[in-house]
Amino acid sequence: MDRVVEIFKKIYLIFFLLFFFENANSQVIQKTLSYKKYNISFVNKMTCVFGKTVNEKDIIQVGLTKKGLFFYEEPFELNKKFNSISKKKFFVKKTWFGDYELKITDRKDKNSKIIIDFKNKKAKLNNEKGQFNSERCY
Amino acid sequence: MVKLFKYTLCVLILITSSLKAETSKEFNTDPNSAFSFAPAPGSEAQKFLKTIGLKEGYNDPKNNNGSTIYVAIGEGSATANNNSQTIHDARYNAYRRALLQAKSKYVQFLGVEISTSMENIVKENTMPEPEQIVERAVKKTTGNVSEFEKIKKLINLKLDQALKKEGYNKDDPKEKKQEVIKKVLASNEFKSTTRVAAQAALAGFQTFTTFEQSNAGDKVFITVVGVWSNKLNELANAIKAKDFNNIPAGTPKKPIAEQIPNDPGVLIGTFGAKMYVNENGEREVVAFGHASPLKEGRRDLLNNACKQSEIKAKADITLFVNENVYYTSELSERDISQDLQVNGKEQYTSFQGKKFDEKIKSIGQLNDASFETVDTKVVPGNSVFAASDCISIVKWSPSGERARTGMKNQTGQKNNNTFSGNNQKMNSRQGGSGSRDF
Repeated sequence: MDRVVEIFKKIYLIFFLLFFFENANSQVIQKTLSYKKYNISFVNKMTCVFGKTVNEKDIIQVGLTKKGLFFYEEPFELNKKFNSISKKKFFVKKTWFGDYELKITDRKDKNSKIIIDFKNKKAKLNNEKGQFNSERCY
Repeated sequence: MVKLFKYTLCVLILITSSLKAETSKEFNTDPNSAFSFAPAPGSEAQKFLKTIGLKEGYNDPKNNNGSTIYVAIGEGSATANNNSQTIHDARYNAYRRALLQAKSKYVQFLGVEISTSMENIVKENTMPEPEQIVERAVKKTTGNVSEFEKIKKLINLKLDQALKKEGYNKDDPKEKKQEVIKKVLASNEFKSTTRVAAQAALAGFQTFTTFEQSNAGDKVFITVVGVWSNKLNELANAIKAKDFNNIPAGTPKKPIAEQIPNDPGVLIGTFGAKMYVNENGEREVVAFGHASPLKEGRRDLLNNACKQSEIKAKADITLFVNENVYYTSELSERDISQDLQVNGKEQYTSFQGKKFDEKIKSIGQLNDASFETVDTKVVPGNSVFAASDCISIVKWSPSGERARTGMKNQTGQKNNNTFSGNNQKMNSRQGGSGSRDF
């Protein structure tokens, strides 16, 4: 009888541990909150790298579409506030000098500004950490 | 009435100028005004385009004798220094990178698919330290040492498999194992991603001209002005289809051999495939391939370099005729907060970062085409570039194709003419360009 109890004890232990390891591992919940798709043509597109510090860099992708929209994460109209899918607010206008001035308000309500010069392949970034000229744009 | 008009005009001018002044002032008082722009790498190319009445991007057929022209500028830098023996291969690869970038702009002009998404990833790690779990659990259930060992082995086996999935390997050093165990108790990640994808079959995209900068001590930087036009497209399609009657005729020029740059300073900076119009008004495609020998002073190695440069030139013609270009980029922004357990203590960290991946891929294919080697030139090592450069000039022509009929598998011949380099410092220079009859 004791022998049977011992065997059941072992079986119980093995099942318990097997169940435990199957369920005790890290759990990941991944949710796609929102998704959008666009088909556009780029008249101009530029990728710029800013060196904030030696170790920290920022990178942006901006463009102009055939239909006259501005592109930063998503295509949107000039001179009109735009709420992006990434929960940021964008506003872009063309300056007197032919550059584009993009104002960004991020999810934490922090403001930054990027001035984009497509013609000379340059950009400058202005945010709470300081002002940065693009290291390279291509 | 006139007075009133003059007055209104004056007021308007005053308002406009004050507005402009205000804007300029606003711009100048902006902290950004501390910045200034240095000449951009592609500015030489932009200037060149201005002189010939073209602009980067789409050029209206109305201004170009009914020909639709698209111009794209790309840049690339060499990975080797000028004193390296492989400098000319590195320069050629820089050229290819620049051309590919120019092509990717054209492909993106033709149309891209953009998808943007926002994700929230929550991670919770409820796994305690593995060895402790096994010992505690087994000891509780059985007091028998041999039984304990048996069960422990069995459990450990299962545990190892489960942990491997988590990046934990029992054979790893202790520090590494601790690293995995301590990694994350909980994390919350916001991730926004922008994906750009474009794909197009290109026919007739050629290198119009190249600009090369090679400052002392700096690596070579190459700017390519690439061009696509409907005439170039027709030529490429005719080569592919072997239908030479539909190639648009051009204004007769000098024989091709006389149009090819003969100045070593220009020739060394001339890359890729270009369309030329010959003395009969026929359009031909001429390509310039470059390669350096493995060592200087060895005839056999120089010959090998010349063979390689010939292959490169042929590859350039192939890509001109029939190429598929794929562009993809992914820019993700992450905002992560984490609860970590380090040495038994809980720590909180957060960071923001971006990840950018860009891929441009090109595949070319051309079957059963006839190439003719026009010339092979060698520019010896000099004060700018340590290594010799073997430049192969290869062409495709309708007359060559016709002559080939019935003579399949016959290849062209090459000359091994050499000439001395100018042994002078090479400043920023422009390579040769083909016919401008786009």
